[in-house]
Amino acid sequence: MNSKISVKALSQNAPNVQPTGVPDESIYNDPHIYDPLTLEHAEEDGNDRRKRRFRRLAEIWRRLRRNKLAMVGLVILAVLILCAIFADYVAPYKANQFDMGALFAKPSRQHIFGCDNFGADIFSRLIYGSRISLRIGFICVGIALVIGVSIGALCGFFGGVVDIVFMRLIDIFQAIPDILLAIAIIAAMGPGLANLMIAVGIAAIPAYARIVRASVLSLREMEFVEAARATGSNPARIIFKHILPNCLAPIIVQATLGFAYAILNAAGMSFIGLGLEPPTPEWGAMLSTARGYIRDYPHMTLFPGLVIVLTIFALNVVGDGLRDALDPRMKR
Amino acid sequence: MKKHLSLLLALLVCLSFLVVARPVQAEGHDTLTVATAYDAITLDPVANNDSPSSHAMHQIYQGLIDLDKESNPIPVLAESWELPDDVTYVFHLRKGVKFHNGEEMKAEDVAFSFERARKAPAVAHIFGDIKEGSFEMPDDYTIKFQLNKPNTGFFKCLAHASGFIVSKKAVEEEGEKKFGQNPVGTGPFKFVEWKKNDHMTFERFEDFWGDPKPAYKTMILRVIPEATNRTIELESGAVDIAYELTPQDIERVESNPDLQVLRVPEYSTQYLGLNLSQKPLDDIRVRQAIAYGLDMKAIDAAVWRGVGKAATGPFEGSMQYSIANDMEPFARDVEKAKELLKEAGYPDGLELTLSTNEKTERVDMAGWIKNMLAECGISVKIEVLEWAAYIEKLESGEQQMFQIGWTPDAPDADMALWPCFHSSAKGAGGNYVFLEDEKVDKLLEDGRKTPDGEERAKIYKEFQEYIDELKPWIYEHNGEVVIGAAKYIQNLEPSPYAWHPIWKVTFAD
Repeated sequence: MNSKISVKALSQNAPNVQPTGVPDESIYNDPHIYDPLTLEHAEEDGNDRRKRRFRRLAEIWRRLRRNKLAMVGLVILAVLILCAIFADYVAPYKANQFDMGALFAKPSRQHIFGCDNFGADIFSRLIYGSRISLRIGFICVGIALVIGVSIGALCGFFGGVVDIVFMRLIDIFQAIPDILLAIAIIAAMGPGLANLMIAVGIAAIPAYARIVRASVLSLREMEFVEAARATGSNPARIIFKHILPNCLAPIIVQATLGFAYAILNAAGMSFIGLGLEPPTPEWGAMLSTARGYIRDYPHMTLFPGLVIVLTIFALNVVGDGLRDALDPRMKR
Repeated sequence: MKKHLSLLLALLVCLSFLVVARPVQAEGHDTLTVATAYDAITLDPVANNDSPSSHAMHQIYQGLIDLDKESNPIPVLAESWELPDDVTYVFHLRKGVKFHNGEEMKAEDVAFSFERARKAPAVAHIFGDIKEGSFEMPDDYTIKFQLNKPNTGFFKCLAHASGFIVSKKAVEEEGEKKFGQNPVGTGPFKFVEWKKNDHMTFERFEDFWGDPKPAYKTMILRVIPEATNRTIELESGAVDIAYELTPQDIERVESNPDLQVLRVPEYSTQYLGLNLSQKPLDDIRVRQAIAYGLDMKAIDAAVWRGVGKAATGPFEGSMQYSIANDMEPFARDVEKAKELLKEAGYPDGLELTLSTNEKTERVDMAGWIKNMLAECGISVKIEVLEWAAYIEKLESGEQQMFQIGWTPDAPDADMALWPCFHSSAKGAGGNYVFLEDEKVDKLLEDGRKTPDGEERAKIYKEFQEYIDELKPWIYEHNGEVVIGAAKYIQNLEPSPYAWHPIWKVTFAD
């Protein structure tokens, strides 16, 4: 992830790829990516700042909208989120409404995705399952974000012993395949939704720490940071007010992709039986149950699989789209 | 250079696929490959008591006696026997029987095997009652020993795997611990290799005393936990026999002209156990409420879909003294369940944990139980544990509700009931509901020492009616052995204990 960004930055900065004779608009002259609180902008008032922030968001949105694939992804995500919020109204049945008369029912008008081994409506279970999956995504990313960004910022800003100690710890974490790490954590703490989210979250920390550290390393040498230092700001203020807002772009991109990754990882954990108490309508667990019936009732496997694929696809294209939209060097 | 190497590698990979994927079509039929669901735990007869281990051991060991289909004893390593009184047993052994290591089987091997069994915790419920130091060997082919107390079911237990005769010399050479990995018996097949959770290979023992001798040379027991995969392997011809077909695969195998399905009722009883040592399950009204809240007949139909039947008693109906066939499955009554809960002091319902292992059908059962009890105000938390952790939990007594099954070791009511209900068997002995009841103990003790006949029938009838009132168990399911096999497989006799004597299998041409 991180390395991709820097490669792109290099090629974009090379003068020969700039479009039609427009002078190289260096990012250092772009007020938008500079912290509004640096000395250069000290005289502007809050109103201006709000306006500028709005202009910037509008610009990002305009660029994102041009990316068709990302818009498709966004629509899918919107539908998913609405389904999760209004599950009680959207789903025709309850998630755990079993029906002895509808065991393994094939897709029909009553049950558009068919029924599972409990005679429960798969469509409804998928809708209720989106709540769990989205919650898993948010909380896992939250855990990884808070811890990963903190470690990355500390390491990047202070360097020295702190950097060496924390980054070597991160290296150790990264040396273990993250799905294996998550399995180990769950095996130690026992299955359950909370532990599942903690395990998947912890396993994702290294990626955030590395990205943030790399951004902080380049930012801390900038003039505006030096200026803040010169005026006597303490390190906490410098990190939170001046540095972190400037590496938001890669964090947002990583969080979007990490969201997809967390859902997939959690589904994987459920699939191998380390997830939630059955018969919770979790997508991975549904897929795992369906596996035993794949030759006789393929609809039980097909629909949960499709929903997972669609969700991950949507998150990935939105993440890619955001990366392009947030990158100031892509500006035309 | 590098290119050549990768080409070579690719070629190797392709070749290995060919080797693996080639169906092991039985040309000349000198190998029998069987797909089993679970691996054995040990091959030492007294180290553990579980069906997969017993099944494997039935191919390489023999006991003094065996039981025919009507549960009558037939001579195996013993040619004849006498029971001079109700605690003394005398066996006259067969002469010229060789162990796999070439030694001849003699009375001291029998005494050694039973002495090991007497001291082994895993089979204490069978052999623990042999009187210490009572073994007498007037000559090499006669053995006499006594029990502490009369035990009517004991004789038939000698056909169980824990009564198999091991070579004294081999155990002493290998050491007690290692013997389970390198077993030596008198059976028709001898041990070759065992890759844990993958396969076990046996080879025909050419000096086997019995007649007929096995019709094929090599037996391979493959462990394939996924039921679908067992069926696929059977269809592709990679295995000759597949155990434990799922309900949805039965029809598929039946309709295949190259395959056959063999079914026989199993002696196992699956149950929902209610741990009486845990609050609030010590209250009989709560247990009754749970019983009223469940429609086990419907659950059985939904989960097993025609395999086996809903259980109606603590042991299978076709066994002697069982009254299960005269009983009806408990009728569901949600209102009554709610009323009982209110009486017991839980007007707003209560929360219980249901522990189970990962077996698909048990997890499905648990789902239905949770669903039905929710309607009665009991919210159930399902806890799925890996087998070893699950057994550890059951033995510790920390469980509330749990699901497990019991298959008696011999076709005797005592073997079916004592380990599950007697207070001396609490925990590791098999009494996972931690029942401690004077009347239960008294009835079981009487039943154990009373000779077969009407009086014994009366005792066990009273016991079953009393247990039905106490409700430590909610009966779930009596199993059924369902085996898929290639059409050319003959003389496969499924056993109701799931210890199929596959060494007797022959091949049609």
